[in-house]
Amino acid sequence: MTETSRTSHATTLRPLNADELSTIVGEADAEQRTLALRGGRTHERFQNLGDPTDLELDLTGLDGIVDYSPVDLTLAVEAGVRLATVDQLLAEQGQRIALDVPHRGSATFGGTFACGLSGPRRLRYGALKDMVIGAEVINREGFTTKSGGMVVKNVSGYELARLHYGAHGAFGIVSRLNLKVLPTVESRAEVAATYTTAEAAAEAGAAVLVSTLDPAAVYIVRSAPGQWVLRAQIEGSLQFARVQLQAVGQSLGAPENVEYVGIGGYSTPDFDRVVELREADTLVARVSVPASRQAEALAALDALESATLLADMGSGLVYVRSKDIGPAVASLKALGWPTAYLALPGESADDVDVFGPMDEAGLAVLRRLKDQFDPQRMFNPGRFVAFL
Amino acid sequence: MTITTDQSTVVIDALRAVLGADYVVSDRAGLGVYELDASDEAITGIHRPLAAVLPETTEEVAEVARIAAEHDLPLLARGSGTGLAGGAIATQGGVMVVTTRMNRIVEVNLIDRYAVVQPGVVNLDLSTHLAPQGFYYAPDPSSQRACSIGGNLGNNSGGPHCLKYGVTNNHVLGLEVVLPGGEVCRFGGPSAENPGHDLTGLIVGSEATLGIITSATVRILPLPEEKGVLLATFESMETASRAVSATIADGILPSALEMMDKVTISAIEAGIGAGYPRDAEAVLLVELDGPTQTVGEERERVAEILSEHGAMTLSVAETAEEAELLWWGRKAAFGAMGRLAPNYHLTDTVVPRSKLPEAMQLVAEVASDYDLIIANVFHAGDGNLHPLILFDRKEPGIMERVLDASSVLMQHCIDLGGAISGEHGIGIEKNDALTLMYSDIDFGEMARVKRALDPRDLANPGKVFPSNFDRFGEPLD
Ligand SMILES: Cc1cc2nc3c(=O)[nH]c(=O)nc-3n(C[C@H](O)[C@H](O)[C@H](O)COP(=O)(O)OP(=O)(O)OC[C@H]3O[C@@H](n4cnc5c(N)ncnc54)[C@H](O)[C@@H]3O)c2cc1C
Ligand SMILES: Cc1cc2nc3c(=O)[nH]c(=O)nc-3n(C[C@H](O)[C@H](O)[C@H](O)COP(=O)(O)OP(=O)(O)OC[C@H]3O[C@@H](n4cnc5c(N)ncnc54)[C@H](O)[C@@H]3O)c2cc1C
Repeated sequence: MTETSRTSHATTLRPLNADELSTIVGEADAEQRTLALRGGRTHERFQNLGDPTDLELDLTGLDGIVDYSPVDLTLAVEAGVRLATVDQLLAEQGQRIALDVPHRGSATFGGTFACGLSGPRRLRYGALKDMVIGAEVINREGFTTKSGGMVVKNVSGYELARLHYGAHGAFGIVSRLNLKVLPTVESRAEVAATYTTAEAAAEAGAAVLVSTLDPAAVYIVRSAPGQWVLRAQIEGSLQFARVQLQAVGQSLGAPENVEYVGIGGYSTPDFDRVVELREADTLVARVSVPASRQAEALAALDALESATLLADMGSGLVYVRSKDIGPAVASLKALGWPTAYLALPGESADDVDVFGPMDEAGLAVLRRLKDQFDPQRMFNPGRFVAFL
Repeated sequence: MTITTDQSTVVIDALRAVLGADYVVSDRAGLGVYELDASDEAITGIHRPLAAVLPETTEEVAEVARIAAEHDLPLLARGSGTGLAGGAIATQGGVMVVTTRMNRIVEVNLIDRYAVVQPGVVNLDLSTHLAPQGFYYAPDPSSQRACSIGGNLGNNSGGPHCLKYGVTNNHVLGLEVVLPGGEVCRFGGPSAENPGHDLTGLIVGSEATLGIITSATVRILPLPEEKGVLLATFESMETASRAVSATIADGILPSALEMMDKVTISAIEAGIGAGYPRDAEAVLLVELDGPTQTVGEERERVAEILSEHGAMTLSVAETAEEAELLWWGRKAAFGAMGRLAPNYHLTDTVVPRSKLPEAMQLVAEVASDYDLIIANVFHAGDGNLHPLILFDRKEPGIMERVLDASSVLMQHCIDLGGAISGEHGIGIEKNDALTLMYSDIDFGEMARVKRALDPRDLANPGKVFPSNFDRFGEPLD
């Protein structure tokens, strides 16, 4: 174990394996000490401010690949493993994990799982929770607990991994994840079409979503005032990409506006730019709006002139990024769709629950779960939903 | 749970006041159909609930839950009763909520790709309803003509097409749940991510031990443009198993990859005559779906792989009718077992796909060690075995031998890195076998969930958790 820093509020501990982590948690429990959990720190702003803690736990030392069976397309990693490490390992075997996580060199699997977010290719591949086939979690007493296994299909009691997914460590520390992986694709392609109204862009996107076309992602970005770009990303064999590219292009109509980014790839710069959370003065909001209602929502948000707007049609989510905090918050409130703040700067952040509103009876259940799993409020105190 | 006649009269009257007398079943004859599910009654037994009720709305379910709680009675949920693990059986009496009348498809939204359904909707009815609009609901248990979506959610059910599309839990966006005290909670919603914390995925697969699902928002998908079906025969189960591994490892993800052994083939041929070659030791059925383009490419590639891996014969369906014909035998397999023996016991286990050849050998060894006939018909693509142990219940001492063989099979699968159930659930059939996979501490974590949602242990008590769980240091209070 290494002690990396000592600041005025916290000592940082960096366990190097699950056993060391267990010991730290067991002792913290016995001594009633509180723990702040850190992975790659790319999403530190996506949580409530919370209370100061006695210890900071840097989980990046749990960086072992536990098991990789290319023939079974299964992989087990410790929670501190970076996404880029796995990308490289899998690529050697012609495999991959289809997650749109930015900052892959920093982001860890544990942090990614604990955040429970997901990008536009979720349409085709599902979210990280759909790829997890088993998990190990260190509970409040410091014991390693497990659910699931290394097989792709498994019913064996409660799906505890689903409790911990998106829970920001509120119910325990994820120490290991077992995943299903995919073969790499031969080619990627993208069709982009520009429209003058959000409505026209959304209509074109909807036509793709109800068709037998098979895009990996469909989303809209406002590239400039009055310019709405619909992007459809395609992944598959070269032949498949060629055929889909033509077919999607045709379905988007107005051919003079269609740009074939073409075979050979696409990148997700718009998306990565919208969800970059490391700029301290910027708000990033995620609004849950089903695709069929996104045109209305975008039209209403259009007044935020300097904001970046992105609507992930395949996931039913609209993202707003802005440095004009006050007006953005006001517009989002007026919009009325359920909103979470992935990043919210300023004083207002102190008393806003960044996770957004939750069904009252559901919240009562969540509190009871927290009482069961972490009665002393040891893990990330105050940082989770409803300041739990 | 023993309750006095007076008490039961009070409870039944209260239930009638909420639902009307027609929808409260409490007489011996009427309760007959609710005493069993599709599990083996020699294992799970016959148990009569105090009453079975047929509500139509969430509010009625909540009222029923309140009445049960007030009288400290177990609260059970039952869909179509096709469960194979005894999950819907009233082992401790109580009030059984039967969802048959909660069978409305409340909303369908194609652009947003979701449907809101009540739990009693029959699985196939949803896809049938969506078909004219070019959509379907992907999870398709072989029992889909009968089983309910609520039961699918309870058991986190799978099916042949879950190889490509994932099990029930991968297709649920949101739930409405009535807790044992009668509170109504909502989790998730039509979007993929929602504010707060989403407990949808934790409730799915909890076999009604945390509450009763009264509405579900499920993901629906556009029907694939094209389907391609291939059928290959092999000279042994091992070679067929290797062909399965090779197909998956090649990067092809068929929509279904099913395997049948010689015993199964002979049952099917005796039963319906699907035209499967009787001399084959193993048959593989591969289905591909997607855009016409992809299906065409993949069909060629799969044919190549199967040939390279020792396929003796290969049939490729050219039309939808031919595809249907190739599937016909697989679909009739369970029913056809009656041709070989009066009873069968199904052990639903999983192994990593690369371990299929070893697993097949072990199944054959168990059959010979216990002097039993075991048929294999299963979801090979995800390593999900379904050894069917054939027997005649009238034979003295047979049940014990069958169950012993089944336990040994489960242990073998765990030793190969697998699990004790792929899709049929735990219920009261495998709750004790769960101890083969999990420690006391793991059960302690599950108990924390149970206590948070059902502190009085009223929701489907005695299911999932091992029967000696009280001795596990963290008893359920
Ligand atoms: C809109 C958007 C799109 C994205 N796309 C995707 C995507 O497609 N798929 C996807 O899965 N993710 C996606 N991400 C999510 C994101 O990339 C991850 O959340 C990020 O990788 C966090 O990792 P980290 O190691 O930097 O975590 P950190 O910033 O260090 O920690 C984040 C949170 O997790 C907690 N935490 C960290 N490690 C653990 C642990 N081991 N156990 C318990 N709690 C822990 C921390 O306490 C903190 O609350 C996207 C993000 C955004 C904003
Ligand atoms: C011939 C045959 C083939 C089968 N093939 C498959 C297959 O391919 N794949 C597969 O996975 N299974 C299969 N099964 C098993 C069974 O059909 C599934 O488990 C199915 O999902 C059960 O649905 P049901 O409506 O019959 O549920 P039931 O048997 O009534 O209940 C099952 C469980 O769900 C709970 N439950 C029911 N309704 C609710 C609700 N509203 N809220 C919460 N919990 C609820 C019950 O309490 C019980 O624990 C098969 C069964 C048969 C007989």
